[in-house]
Amino acid sequence: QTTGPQTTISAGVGFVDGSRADRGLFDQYSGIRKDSSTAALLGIDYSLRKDDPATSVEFQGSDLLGDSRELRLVWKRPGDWSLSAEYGELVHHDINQVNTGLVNPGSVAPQVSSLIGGVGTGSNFDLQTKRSKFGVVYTKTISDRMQLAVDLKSENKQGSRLFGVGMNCPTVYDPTCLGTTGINVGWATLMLPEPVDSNHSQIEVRLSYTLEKLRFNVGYYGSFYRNANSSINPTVAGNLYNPVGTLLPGSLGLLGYLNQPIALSPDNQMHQFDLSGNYDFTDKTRGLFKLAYSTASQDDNFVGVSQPGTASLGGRVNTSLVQLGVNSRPIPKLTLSGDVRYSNKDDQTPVAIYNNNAIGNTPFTNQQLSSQKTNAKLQAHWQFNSDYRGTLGVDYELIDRGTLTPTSAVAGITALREKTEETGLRAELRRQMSETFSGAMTLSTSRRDGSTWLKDNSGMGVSAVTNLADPTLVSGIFMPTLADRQRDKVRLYADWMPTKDWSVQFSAEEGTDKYTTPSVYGLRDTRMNQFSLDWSYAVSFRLNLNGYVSKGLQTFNQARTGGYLMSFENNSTTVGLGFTAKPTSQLEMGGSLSYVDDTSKYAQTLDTTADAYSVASLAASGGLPDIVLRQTVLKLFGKYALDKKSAVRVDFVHQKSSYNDWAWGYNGVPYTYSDGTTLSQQASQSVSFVGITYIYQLP
Amino acid sequence: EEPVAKDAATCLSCHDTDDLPDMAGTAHGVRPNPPPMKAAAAALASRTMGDVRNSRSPTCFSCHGTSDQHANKPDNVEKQSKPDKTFTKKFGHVTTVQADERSRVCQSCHDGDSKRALWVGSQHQAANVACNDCHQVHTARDKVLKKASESEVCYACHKEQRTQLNKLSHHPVVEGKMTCSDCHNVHGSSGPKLVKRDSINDTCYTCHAEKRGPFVQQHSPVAEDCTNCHNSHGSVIPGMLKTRAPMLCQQCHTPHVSGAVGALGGQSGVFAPAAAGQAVPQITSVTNGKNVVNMWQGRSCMNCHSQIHGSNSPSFSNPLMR
Repeated sequence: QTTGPQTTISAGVGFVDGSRADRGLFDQYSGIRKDSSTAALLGIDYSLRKDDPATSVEFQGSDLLGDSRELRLVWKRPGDWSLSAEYGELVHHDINQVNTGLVNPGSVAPQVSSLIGGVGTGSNFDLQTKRSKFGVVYTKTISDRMQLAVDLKSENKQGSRLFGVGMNCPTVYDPTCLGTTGINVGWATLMLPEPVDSNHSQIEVRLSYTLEKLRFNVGYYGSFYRNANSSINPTVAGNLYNPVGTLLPGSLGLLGYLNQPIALSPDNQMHQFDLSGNYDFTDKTRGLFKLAYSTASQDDNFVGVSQPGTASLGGRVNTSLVQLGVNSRPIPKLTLSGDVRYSNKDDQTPVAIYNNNAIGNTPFTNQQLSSQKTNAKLQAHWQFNSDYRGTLGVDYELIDRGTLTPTSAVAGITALREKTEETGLRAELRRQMSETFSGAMTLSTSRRDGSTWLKDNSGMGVSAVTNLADPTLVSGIFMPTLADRQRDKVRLYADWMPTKDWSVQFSAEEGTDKYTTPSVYGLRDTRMNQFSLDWSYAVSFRLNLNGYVSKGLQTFNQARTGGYLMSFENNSTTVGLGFTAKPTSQLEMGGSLSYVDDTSKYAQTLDTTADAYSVASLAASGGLPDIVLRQTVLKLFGKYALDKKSAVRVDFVHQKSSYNDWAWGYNGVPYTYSDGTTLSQQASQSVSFVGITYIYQLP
Repeated sequence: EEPVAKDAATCLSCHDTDDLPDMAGTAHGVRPNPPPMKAAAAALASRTMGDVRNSRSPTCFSCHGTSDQHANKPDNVEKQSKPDKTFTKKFGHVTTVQADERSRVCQSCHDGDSKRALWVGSQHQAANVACNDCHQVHTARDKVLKKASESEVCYACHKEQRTQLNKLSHHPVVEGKMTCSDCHNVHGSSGPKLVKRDSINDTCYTCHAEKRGPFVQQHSPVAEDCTNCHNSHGSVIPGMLKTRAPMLCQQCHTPHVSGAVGALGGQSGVFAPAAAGQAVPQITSVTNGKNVVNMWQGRSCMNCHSQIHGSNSPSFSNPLMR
């Protein structure tokens, strides 16, 4: 018996109001073209089902006339085989508006042309990238025991994204680069959009086999990245603005630096083979395993400068992984599980000197980044009775970064560690307090420390830190990713259904990280908390309401040498309300209202080492202002059935935002690149969208 | 004579298409137009669910048990008993079946799937999550299987991630263009945080392969773990950074900037003339490029260190990540 085909077409039009500046935040992923205030809406939904044998074909297309169209085909015989194909586009618009004098922006050969008319007199340029992805997945049940899956994906990415180059002429090594006050400029920052034109293809083939006690699968995964643009080659020939906005020629040395090509992401590839599965030792004990080996390589040709005889890096990284685990329920109340995971990332990239024509510099080599990582986990669950369940867990992690390459450059880093080790404990209690109320509480704590800190040896590698009173260490900064850390977290969760119509959820969590290092500088501590209340209420079988409130806090405190302490605090409140309704058999409605209030504070205070200039500067500026985002989004839809075959749907979206990120301007003064290019955001943005769609089911 | 799955027919004599209107559209039953009640049992013969010609086809009994007491309520019993195995959390039908036991019912068919090979011992299994805590079996519109609605199911527990995904800089999950399972294998994984591939970086590379390298100028925290700097669920800082540069960079690097405190172009004393109390303005015509404006505004440290993820430009001077 065949059913269908059933085909539903939806076609309509959407209108967007608001200027380009109003739509900065709205358009980020809207899929609506920035230069258009209308959008054609077209979608299709097709299905065909046969009963003998049971097969089905489904085809869906959405936003077919827009910039983010998606198409999906699924053809299958459940339990036997399935074939699915998917094509999707995704456009990402940068939230900033660009005004520039660049010639050929977004190409591999942009020409810098300073805005002699001043800021804002250039042309607008949209930074955007578009991903176009095509994928096919085929699965086949070869027998009751064997299954094959093939997954192919290919994605093109095109467009341009925020990028740039800057140069501060070195005072010692290249004095000719320095500008002369009033005559020429000796440093510059330039916004050069990165030209994006790449393809990423991935293939995964997997064969699964099932025996009575053993289930396993073997697979191959391959990743192939190809970038059509190997470098960006800017032309910087004319005048540039100095720090106070005077247009002057760039020094020859500076222009020499700025005109160097910059390598873009090189091609790379990776191959992985793996075997994973599980085995039932008994009906109460199951083992898990995974073995994997991968090799990644990068041998794209260098652009510009290279070591004679070295055309490419010849990069190769081999990674091995072994994971073994076991889960057992020796008695009905007790469940034990544990696993050990070991991975070895072996960087086989040849080490070579890459600055043999350096001007008095110490030799610079590339750096191998090998590491071995061991993770272990052991946890026990105890079912006290049908209502109580307790869990205790221990987690362990050891990262061994190996011996650091002798000539690897670690300039700007105070010290490193070869090993870090972290042990954590978790305890959880879950309780079903009644048929309608359940809750859980989780406590966790972990402690990380590591091997001896190794001090940077002037770009020539590292040497062990033996004297913590060394002034360069006392005032140094120690990486938080390697530092001793105490991490604590508590989490509460409750789920309550007071009546058959009401559902309420509550969750709260609080966590802190505290760092201990040989100096008082760098990151000292962080904190987070989050409280959420969710609810839903079925007013009637025709009307459902829901909503949530979340309030979160994130803080960190860090200090730097030279005299300031920085305290960051982010407070975020999110509120959501929603409803679905079916007032009549013909009318269906829904909507949501969300509100976000997010404030980031950057508080600076001076420590005792601060100089008088810093004291005066902070007093004069008043410190860094808060960054506040407030956004309200209203979404409504209504769908009215005209008859059994057709309906009309109306969608309405209104988004109102205010945002004041000072990264690109403050108090009317934009951050201005040396050629006069500016990026900006409109502080208050308001945009509405209305879409009307006619939905028709073909006979 | 058409083969009929008798056990399923028993159930459908009560739980017909009015009771489970969406059932036919699920992966367990493909008929799009549910047959009327009287024809339901016969129609089972050609449905995947209860298809006796397909040895892999489940029936109602496969999941719920034969449920004799439920199907045949004794006359002397006032309230009909529940089926042998119940799964839902609906009021009045809160299941007493433990999560692992509920999941085992699904695993009896789906255990051979490679994506579920590492379920036992995974974070979700350990947290007492059962398949039906996320999946709805009796509906054609299982929210967790739709890209646009999957995240709503995850938010039921992961509130912090919901907040983060609503922040300014985020992956397009809110817009329905991506979803949680694009990065996570919730059924068990070898990677941390249930990421799809064996490490966080390998998972990120599935969409951001240009960051894989290796590069002639490496950046070790980048190569080790993308989440050292990024919060992949969203951030108030562009680029989904955990912290705004230069503070982020200065958590590891000794800073090189004239003037200790942060200040912005447009603030008092940054450009000439100097503000009251200051000896000189912070930015003058001779100030070098490492000034507070270039350090705090624009792309901050990345104004100069453009290729912070790793550069393949062999440097003829200092390695600059350029």
